[in-house]
Amino acid sequence: MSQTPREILLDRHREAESKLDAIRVDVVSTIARADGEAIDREAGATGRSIGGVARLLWDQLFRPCRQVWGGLAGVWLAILILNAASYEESDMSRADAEISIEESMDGMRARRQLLAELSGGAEPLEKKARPAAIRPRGETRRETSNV
Amino acid sequence: MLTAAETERPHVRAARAGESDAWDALFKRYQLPLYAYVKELVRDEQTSLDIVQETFINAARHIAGLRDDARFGSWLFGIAHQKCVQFWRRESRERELEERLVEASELESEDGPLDLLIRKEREAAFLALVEELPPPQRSVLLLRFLEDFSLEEIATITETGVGTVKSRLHYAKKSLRKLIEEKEHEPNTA
Repeated sequence: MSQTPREILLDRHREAESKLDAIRVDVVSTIARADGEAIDREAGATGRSIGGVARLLWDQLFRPCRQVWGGLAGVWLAILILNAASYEESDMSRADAEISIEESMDGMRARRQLLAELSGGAEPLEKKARPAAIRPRGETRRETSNV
Repeated sequence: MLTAAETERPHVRAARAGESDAWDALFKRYQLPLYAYVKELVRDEQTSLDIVQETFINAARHIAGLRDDARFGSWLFGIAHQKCVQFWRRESRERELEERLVEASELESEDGPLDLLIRKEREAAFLALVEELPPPQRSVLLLRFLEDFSLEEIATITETGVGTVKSRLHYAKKSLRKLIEEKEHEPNTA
């Protein structure tokens, strides 16, 4: 079977194939090395700028384990939401607490006044609010029967 | 069915991205045809190997300059061709080469299948005939034989016009035919 001109030419030079393989391997390894160095240089250059640092962080820290970081972000979000909700509740309870303090203050003031009256010392602070003088029950009954 | 250029496209794209495996595949595909082309032109083994190596290195360095991925083959041969021209220049053959390169005038190409011509000759005889051709014609013929490049591609590789390529191909065929006839009429001395 007759060969094509291409086959004839290639066959003629086929013995150089081992040398060509060696050249190819050498050149390809040079390319791979040069590429690695270029990547290192790029990383060094990007490392100098803030954007570069962010990109480097993203590439080397976040991107390889995005799911883990996503999960963590979710947990933090849940914590923040819970925190905000509990803050609202504490606002309401604080208002309640303020009311009860006022009430207890009033009660305390009234008790102090009563004590002062009983001991016969100081004048009552509010005449209007002054309670009726405490007398023996018999006297009170007599007054009412006279009316 | 995918053409060679189409099957190469992914490799070329990956090579552009700096993937050494893609370069390996591309170089493996072209190393022998490229060497055959260079060796037939410069006729020196070590120089041919050096040119192939320089071609590979230049290709990796200047891949960004390749506009069309489908034209990787002709682009690679173009680099090798330029290296051959540089070699010729270094060898102080510039004048001779220039004279040969300027030779051709615009002639109508003679469209006849080269295979018809080739079939008449045995392999060794055919190669001996190719070697006898002047470098510009040899170059065109080799590119046609080795990678079946189009006239436009050969013109790009050799940095000449399509008309010049056509005329060189025409002269190459004519010269081959003449040489074959001479061989046929030679008295058999054996």
